[in-house]
Amino acid sequence: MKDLLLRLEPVIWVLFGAGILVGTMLITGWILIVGLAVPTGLVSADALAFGRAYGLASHFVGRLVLLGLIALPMWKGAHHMRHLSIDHGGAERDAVVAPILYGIATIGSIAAIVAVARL
Amino acid sequence: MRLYTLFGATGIVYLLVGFVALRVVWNLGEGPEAWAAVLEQLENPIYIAFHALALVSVVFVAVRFFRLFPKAQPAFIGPVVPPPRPILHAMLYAAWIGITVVLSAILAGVIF
Amino acid sequence: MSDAKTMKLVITRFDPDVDAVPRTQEYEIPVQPDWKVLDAVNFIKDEVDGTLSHRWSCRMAVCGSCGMMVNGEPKLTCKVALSDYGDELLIEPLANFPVVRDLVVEMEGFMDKFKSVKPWIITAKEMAAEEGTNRQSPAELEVFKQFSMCINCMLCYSACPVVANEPEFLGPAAIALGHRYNMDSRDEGQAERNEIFRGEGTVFSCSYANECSEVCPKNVDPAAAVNQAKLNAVIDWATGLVIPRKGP
Repeated sequence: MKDLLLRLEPVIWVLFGAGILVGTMLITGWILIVGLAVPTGLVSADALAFGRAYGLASHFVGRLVLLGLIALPMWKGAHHMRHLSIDHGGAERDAVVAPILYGIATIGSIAAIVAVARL
Repeated sequence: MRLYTLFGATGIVYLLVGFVALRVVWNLGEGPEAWAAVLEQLENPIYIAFHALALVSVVFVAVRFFRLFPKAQPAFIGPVVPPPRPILHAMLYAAWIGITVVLSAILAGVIF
Repeated sequence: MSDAKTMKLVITRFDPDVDAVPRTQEYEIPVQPDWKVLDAVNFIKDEVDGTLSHRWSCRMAVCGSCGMMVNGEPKLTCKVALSDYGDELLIEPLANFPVVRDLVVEMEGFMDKFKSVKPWIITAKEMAAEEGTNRQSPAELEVFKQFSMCINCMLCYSACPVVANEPEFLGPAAIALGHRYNMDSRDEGQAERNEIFRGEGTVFSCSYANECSEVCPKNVDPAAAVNQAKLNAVIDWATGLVIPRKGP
């Protein structure tokens, strides 16, 4: 497992890098509006009415943006959580922790692809 | 606690925010009822508190990472010479703010 | 001589022949306002307790010998003013290294990592003396000059949270040194070093905590080097997928 992780390290790092760079840029607006402004009533719920939301999301660009803002932060999250674990004396358990975290990000990413593809 | 520990800890928030977004988009694919249900869930104070924490996290990550990113670029990347560090730093902010403003405007129904 | 004030130094002592674990010893000494931390330690060694062991040499931040933990932070003790601190000071050996005695740490593993990144110019073909010298423009020098300023003081290893937990990690100074040669216009060893950078002590273990650069007394910015090395190692790896390398 350690050898496999070592060989995948460049791929993981690229996904992490995309997550922290592109993911941060995409997720901020989502958090602002979908996470905060609409639920608190700051912005009318009409903005996210089913028809409008579906129309935006099922557009080619909409699908790509959604895929990016779902999957990329997961890789940033998984990688940073792995480092957090190592920093707190987790070098020994890394052979277990890392595959679990990256596994979660992989499953989440596949689910994200399905979620945007079926719109 | 050092700042880098807090930086790493935002990973937990990022992973969760990705899964919350996945759930929201998944429900959109399920149809109008599921969509209405998930939007109602987002009004739960726990979700609102979580998204407030997420907003603080992404701002913290952006500010720290945009500062660290320029110097992590080699003097040349193949034939490409990256812009000077202060300019690259400014470009990251411009991209982040620009994308956030446009995406927010679209999601809030201001444009499109 | 100006009015001497008194200061308490709490210093880690460890004699492997006597002590099972390190202990601390307190010294109350008169100090001068213009002293560096190293001057206080030297005063103890010379005037108070000759059994105290520590490394030092140049007193001007060039030799890189006098690194110690000062109040928990890795510092080059010849470079930090005593007056920056209060009436009490805690001095310990550099963190993340085995202790030989008192404030002296074992450098062997560190030196092995240094050697492992092949810190010399690698060329496919040795140039004959008649061919003249290798030429390099000021602009080409500027590309890596910063990374060549390292004095091997090892403060970055003490500050690095990854070194603390992953002993096999190459670490900031060694990667910065390897990267310095990779960016050298005269060098042709990038592929070899990138292989090492992706190997067991991988550069990808770095979490970019940036602690190494915060403590570096020579502004080498090892964190920049390590993260530049990551990108180069990725590009080299991706290129290798498309164009398989010849040779072993």
